[in-house]
Amino acid sequence: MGRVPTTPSQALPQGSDERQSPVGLEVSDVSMKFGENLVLDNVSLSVKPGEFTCLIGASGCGKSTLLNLIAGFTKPTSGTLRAGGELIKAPGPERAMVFQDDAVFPWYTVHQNVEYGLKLRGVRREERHAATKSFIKMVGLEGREKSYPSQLSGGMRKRVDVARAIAVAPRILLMDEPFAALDAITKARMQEEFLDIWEKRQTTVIFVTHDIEEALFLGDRIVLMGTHPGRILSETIVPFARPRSEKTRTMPELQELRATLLQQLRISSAGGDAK
Amino acid sequence: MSSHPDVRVLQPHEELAPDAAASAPAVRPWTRLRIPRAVQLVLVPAAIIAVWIFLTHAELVDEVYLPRPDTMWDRVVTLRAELWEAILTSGSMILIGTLSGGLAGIFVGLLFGFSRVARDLFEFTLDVIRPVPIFALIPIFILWFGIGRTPQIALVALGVFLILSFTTIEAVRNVARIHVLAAMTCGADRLAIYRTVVVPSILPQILLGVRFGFIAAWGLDVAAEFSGSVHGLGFFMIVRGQYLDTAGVSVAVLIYCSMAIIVDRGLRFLSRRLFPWSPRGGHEDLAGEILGGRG
Ligand SMILES: Nc1ncnc2c1ncn2[C@@H]1O[C@H](COP(=O)(O)OP(=O)(O)O)[C@@H](O)[C@H]1O
Ligand SMILES: [Mg+2]
Repeated sequence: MGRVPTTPSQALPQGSDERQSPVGLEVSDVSMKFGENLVLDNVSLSVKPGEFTCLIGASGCGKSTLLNLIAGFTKPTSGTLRAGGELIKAPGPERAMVFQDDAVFPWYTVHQNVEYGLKLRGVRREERHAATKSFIKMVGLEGREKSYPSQLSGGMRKRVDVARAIAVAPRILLMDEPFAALDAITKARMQEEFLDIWEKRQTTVIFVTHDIEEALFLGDRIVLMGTHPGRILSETIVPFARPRSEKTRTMPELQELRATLLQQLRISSAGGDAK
Repeated sequence: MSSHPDVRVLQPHEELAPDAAASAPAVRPWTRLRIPRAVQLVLVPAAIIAVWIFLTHAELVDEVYLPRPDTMWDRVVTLRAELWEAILTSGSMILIGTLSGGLAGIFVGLLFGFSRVARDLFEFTLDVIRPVPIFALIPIFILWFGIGRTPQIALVALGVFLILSFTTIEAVRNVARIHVLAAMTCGADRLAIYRTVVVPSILPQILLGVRFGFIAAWGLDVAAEFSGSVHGLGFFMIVRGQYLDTAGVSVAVLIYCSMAIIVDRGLRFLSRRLFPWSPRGGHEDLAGEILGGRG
């Protein structure tokens, strides 16, 4: 009822524009081994500031591993990663992450989870509350502010997670299959709301998904990864104009691109199996 | 189709509430038999007491083995000054010992979590000391501290310290990695991670540790008062035992039990109030439901 699109970005804490401006990402010749298992083989990827890049690929191809490297949780076996020209050494709020697994803090309420980053940054109380409320509204959890995560469904928890990361206002936002667990309607709504914010903010986004349609609807560019070992197979520029809307989903060009990418994905995973 | 009782049309943007799934165990419990609350709380204890009264009043069991209820009541009345004094002594000793030992244990556990240096220095030593049976230390404590309250408090404190340091260290170790990482990408530094992730996530386990600490403390206190003390409930029991006054001993046992139960219930209540988010905070236990145990 009355799901008028809101614009949370208007309620964002103002002022610290400098630390929130998007930066580019440079992944150069990155290889990653776990023991003898070569998970990423010579991956290179260049992302412009403010670009929305979608990573797709069969599960197990190293998408999460690559995201963890960009976040700074792990160090590559070889190669370098740079964000805004600076070597990535450790995790930080300039690269916030929405994890594939449940990462919401169970001891905090929905409200406390979402305001977490703002509080750490020392945003003033009223400003923080307004921003937090708008983010909660964005993910459709109004009325559940005081709920604990254990009282929410898996999909609701994921939405808390997304709101928490966006609230951090990172320069690069890393998202690991954030909408995979959501039902179709919630998913579509979240995608639209998220694009809305992103267009106002122009954060650099690396978005992992195995949903080709989602990648086409959201991204500026789609990077297709292959398995065994994980590597980049192809890059596709997504030509659709922004702002994108419900109509974009039904464009014939989108369906064509979808078919092409699906074909590539099939070949890549079939090749992986044959080996 | 829509007349099927289990089919419900989900409204847009609605997901099945987790509660709906959790409240109905997927696996059928072994037995559907549910004992009413009144039977659990009143009837069963009343039946046991009735059997007790019958056995003792019909003189089927000698009073040295099983005292009569009215004899016990008589002891409460005639020895009430002595008992009251003993309760205060033992109670305060347990409280002081548990609080000091518990706080020290929690502190050490938190320190281990925060400082690798502390861990490297003391972890091995603590691991070695932990399994030592504390009761075996009673004679040494008496030699060190003499007879009186000091060795007793020290014994309780040591026992509770070991339990709580262990609980806290394990709890810190089990803090979910993903929560720490999430905090880092939200901008938390070391201290903030400690304050907003480590401490809140281990608190329920620490409170559980405190409950175990108290349970150990009652036993330690009795043991300490049995051997080398001239006051407290344990000493009272030894004296009454020497008179072959089973009723007197039983009164002391009952007092110990009541105190222990009240404290444990209180802490459990506190845990539920303080940590509503935690499964340990005392929500239903689904596995227990299915397997026939109690939550
Ligand atoms: N910490 C780790 N230790 C060992 N192997 C790992 C680790 N993390 C990931 N892997 C392996 O790396 C491969 C890629 O995993 P992941 O990056 O999670 O794939 P994706 O996210 O694309 O599904 C898998 O084969 C997985 O078993
Ligand atoms: Mg993954």
